Amino acid sequence: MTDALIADLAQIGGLRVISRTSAMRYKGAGKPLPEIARELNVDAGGRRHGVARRRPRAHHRAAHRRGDRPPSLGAELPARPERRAGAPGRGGARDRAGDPARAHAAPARSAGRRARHSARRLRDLSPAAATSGTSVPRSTCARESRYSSARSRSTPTTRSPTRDRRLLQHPRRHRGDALGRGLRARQGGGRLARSRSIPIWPRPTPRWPSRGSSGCGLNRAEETFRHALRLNPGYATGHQWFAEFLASQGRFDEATREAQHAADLIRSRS
Amino acid sequence: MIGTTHADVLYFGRRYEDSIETLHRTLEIGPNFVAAHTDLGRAATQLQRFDEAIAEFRIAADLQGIDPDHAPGLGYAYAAAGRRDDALRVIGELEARRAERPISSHAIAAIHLALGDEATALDTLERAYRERDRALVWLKVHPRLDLLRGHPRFAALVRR
Repeated sequence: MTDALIADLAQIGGLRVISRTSAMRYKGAGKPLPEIARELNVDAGGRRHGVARRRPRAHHRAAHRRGDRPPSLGAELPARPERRAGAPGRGGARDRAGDPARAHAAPARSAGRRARHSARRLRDLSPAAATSGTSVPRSTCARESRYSSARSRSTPTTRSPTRDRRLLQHPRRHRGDALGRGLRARQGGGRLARSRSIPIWPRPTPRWPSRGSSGCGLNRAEETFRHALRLNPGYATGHQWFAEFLASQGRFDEATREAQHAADLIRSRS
Repeated sequence: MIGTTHADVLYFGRRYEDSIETLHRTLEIGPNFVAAHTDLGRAATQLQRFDEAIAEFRIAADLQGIDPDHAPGLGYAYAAAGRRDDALRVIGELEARRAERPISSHAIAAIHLALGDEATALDTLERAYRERDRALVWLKVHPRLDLLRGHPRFAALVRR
């Protein structure tokens, strides 16, 4: 649960999250919070579990003094175009409330909410998205990483493809934000990935053999048998089943060799 | 277990004597291994050593605690030995017991074929296909179905 919590908090751009290792040093230590905060160089705001609000950068502080919205709170979001007076709204709750000023306000999406949204989007992305500009469900990604990338892909969704492609093609531009951190973590290069608090993606899946000419039929079965036995040549039962498979295909010489090999393996163990 | 696999390979490769020899070696290790007895029975049937085959099938049935008439292999041995009534009795028993326990339609088809009833054998094989009888994986090579090879319906079934 600690790992999950740390991983979730790390997605929030406005927070700096101390690694689990650092935080757990204080477990049961009985030190007062201000002392812990001093040692960790964070604000002593009563926050625990290694979470501290990130110190605002100089230009954020300057913007704050000017009364502007800091970038982390959505100032960089494009403002909605002005609606002509009297034009009908979209029927949202704000419009229904009859408050045109609020209805036209830029969405004040919080940093945490944006980070969660970005993390959700990242989870749904695949390497295929980087090239095709579309997001593909993760289950499809898993299949594609196993089989040939030349296979036709299942119908992708088209949810904000431009931003997704930009993110995956230019991760450096997003080095400082939650999207970038999530991406690095999933690519195995981030601190979070090393601490194993979230799964590394793409996962190191074994390379499965490509499909045979008859799809998921006998060719596939044979390739899978051979692949399994390459991975574990000492698996007697595998050789036994493979012998039966070969016999069922009328390949008796090969089947006999496999069966004898299986018997030899059993004998060598006993 | 490995011994019976090797014996299976030899049996489907029509090397019945070698198969029997392998099975005898297996039975030296485990005299009560049911599969070895049934495999011995079917190899002996192909060599037309029917008494030996029937004896082995009966031993296997005893070890399993079932009526010998419920053993498809025994039915095939009866049919191959020309004991038509016995074979038909076994078929009747097997068909009657199908609701109680899984009985391979493939095995029943082989008995029909040994009795010379090709059409019924093919119908029963079609039923086996519909039931996804796993014994159909041996369709290409099973010695009991050799009489059907070259039949268009059988060829179509193998293609499927």
